[in-house]
Amino acid sequence: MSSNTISDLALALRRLGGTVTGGVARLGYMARFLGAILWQTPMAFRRLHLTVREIYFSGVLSLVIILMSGLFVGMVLALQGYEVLQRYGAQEQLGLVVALSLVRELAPVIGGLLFASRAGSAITAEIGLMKATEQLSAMEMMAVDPIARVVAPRFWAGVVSMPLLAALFSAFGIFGGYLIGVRMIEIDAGAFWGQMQAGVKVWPDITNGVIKSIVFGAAVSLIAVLEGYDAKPTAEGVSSATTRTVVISSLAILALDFVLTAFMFRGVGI
Amino acid sequence: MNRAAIDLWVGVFVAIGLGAILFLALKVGNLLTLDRTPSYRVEASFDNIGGLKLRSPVKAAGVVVGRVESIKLDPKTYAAVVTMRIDRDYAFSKDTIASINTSGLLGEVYIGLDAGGDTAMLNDGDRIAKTQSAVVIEKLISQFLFDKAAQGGAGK
Amino acid sequence: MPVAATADKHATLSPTRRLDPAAAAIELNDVWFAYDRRQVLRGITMTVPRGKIVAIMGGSGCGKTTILRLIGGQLRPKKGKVLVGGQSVPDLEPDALYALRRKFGMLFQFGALFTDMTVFENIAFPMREHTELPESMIRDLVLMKLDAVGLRGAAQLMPSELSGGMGRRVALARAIALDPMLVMYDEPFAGLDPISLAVVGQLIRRLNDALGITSIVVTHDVYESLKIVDYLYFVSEGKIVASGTPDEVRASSDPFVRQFVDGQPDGPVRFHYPAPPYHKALLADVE
Repeated sequence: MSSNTISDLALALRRLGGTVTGGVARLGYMARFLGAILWQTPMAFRRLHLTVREIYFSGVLSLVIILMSGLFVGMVLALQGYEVLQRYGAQEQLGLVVALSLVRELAPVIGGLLFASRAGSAITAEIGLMKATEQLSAMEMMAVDPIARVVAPRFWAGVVSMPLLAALFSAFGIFGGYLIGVRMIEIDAGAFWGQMQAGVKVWPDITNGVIKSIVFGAAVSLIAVLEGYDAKPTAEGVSSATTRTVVISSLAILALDFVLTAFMFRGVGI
Repeated sequence: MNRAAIDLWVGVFVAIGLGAILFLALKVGNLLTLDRTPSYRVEASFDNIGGLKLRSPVKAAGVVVGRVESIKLDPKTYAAVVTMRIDRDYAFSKDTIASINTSGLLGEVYIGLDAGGDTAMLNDGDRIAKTQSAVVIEKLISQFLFDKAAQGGAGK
Repeated sequence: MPVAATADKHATLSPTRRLDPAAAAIELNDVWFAYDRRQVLRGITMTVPRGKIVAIMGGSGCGKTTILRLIGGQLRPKKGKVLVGGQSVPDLEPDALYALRRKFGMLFQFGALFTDMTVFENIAFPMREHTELPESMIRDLVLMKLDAVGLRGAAQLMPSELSGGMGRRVALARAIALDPMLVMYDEPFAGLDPISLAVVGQLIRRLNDALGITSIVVTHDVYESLKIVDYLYFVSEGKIVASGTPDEVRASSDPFVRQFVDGQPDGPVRFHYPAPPYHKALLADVE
């Protein structure tokens, strides 16, 4: 019996090792893919309308979910924030709390997660389907590089859309916080905006929020196009690639968020 | 979706996105209060700056008139030399007192300027002569204990 | 016949047609290829003369599409030579390979039309990518290609709005958009109704003759192939098992050819997938 458990353990360890090396190999592949995209970028931008079209499908069509989520998150922040702040008599700081939470963290992260699930999965499915119906092969055979024509526009559309969406998320969130804080709870409007203006700095708060959203946009877009390009050309292949995009993008966003936050906000006092 | 409609919507999207960033920078952040206004430099040296940081406000009568630009240690006197930028709209007399205060018990640390009666004004690069260092709680307590001990001793 | 007339008219009017003296002959010499562990081709040797239509026939999964991919440079053979017009395809630099591909046209299984563009834009795609022709000229060329396949009226439809046969014809028009010297057809007859079958078959023959191109048709539709091709190769288990002109094939006594042409369920290609003896499997539980 013990030899059985030893061989099971050995098998589990081998699998774990395989997963880790597989993961590292995939990272390398991802880096090479990114290199190929950047190499083809000038060619892709000669047809600017391709990228504009993709900004429409990734960015404009995500507006509804982003704006609504931003609004609700801002409103909840105001409610929860007020509940805690008023224990210390610091309700006047509500504007500051809502704004900082949104601009520094929630807008890039939640915006990124929403973008990954809406736009990222759509991109993966689209590219995967093009692969399955041999459209990418057809392009290759017509001496047109599918990376330049199909992949790069979608990648850059994501990088451009994310910071815009994150800013809109913050803006609507602050508006939601205003609605709850000033209109409903009746905190002084002057204090709400004044404390916010005094406390939220363009550098580091807003700038870092924008940097984060650009990094997340690049990560989500790269993962989405890679999974689609690599998908098995079958129905299950495309569907599992789509789920992988959402899962891996989400994990990547959260991991990158930690790394970026540690770099940007270490020891920031007021 | 024809191309014209897509271009229009993307244009709208980018416009409102940039507008949101601008909104955040101007209304939410402090871009407008950034050092765009012309200013002049003034130095002051303190024994202890307490919790004063770079970009801490410089206030007179509670109104923000400038920002702390740099904080250095003088290697000869071992005192802190603080350089501040003051808005050119405000002139201060040469006998202005600079003191380090805290707004409220837990608030931010800032430099407070009390203007004096001298007719000569501070210029770019001048040094403020009279300064008052930050109040450090530990020193206060030990001062209090020392005074108490001295009082007790004198009373005998 | 209207199809022939329009195809011929199209051939003399097209300004992008080049008279390429270099041979469009294709040559495969002892080509071996494997996907991971699976050996797909085991020493294929075949030639495609210029200006002729050659069919590659065989059961599903026998490597026919792989041969097309090797010719197009999407795959590299493990062993052997793949020569197009005298050039060895696997050894070409990426730029030279792309230049060669511009002289190819390929009709993919089920069309592979770009689903986000109209029929017109699909055919204009290779023209816009590879030429500097003005839009007015491209418009005329696209309409001419569509006319050659009989679908000029469908120019503004989306691929999703086309029937199978129509989609296949649009893909054909796209394959000849730049007047290639070689057109490869991957299962052009798959899933078509009898009328569309006849139309596509006729178009392949007429366009080949009118444009002076070379065609390779990969298919398992014997009936249509025998009607239009000049030579056939039969592939089974990675090897060429038989070849000949349509007349030779019809008269052949080779068991594989006969099984294929006559549509026999059992013969050299076995009906039963390899399994242990039947009575042993049935009696397995009875001890």
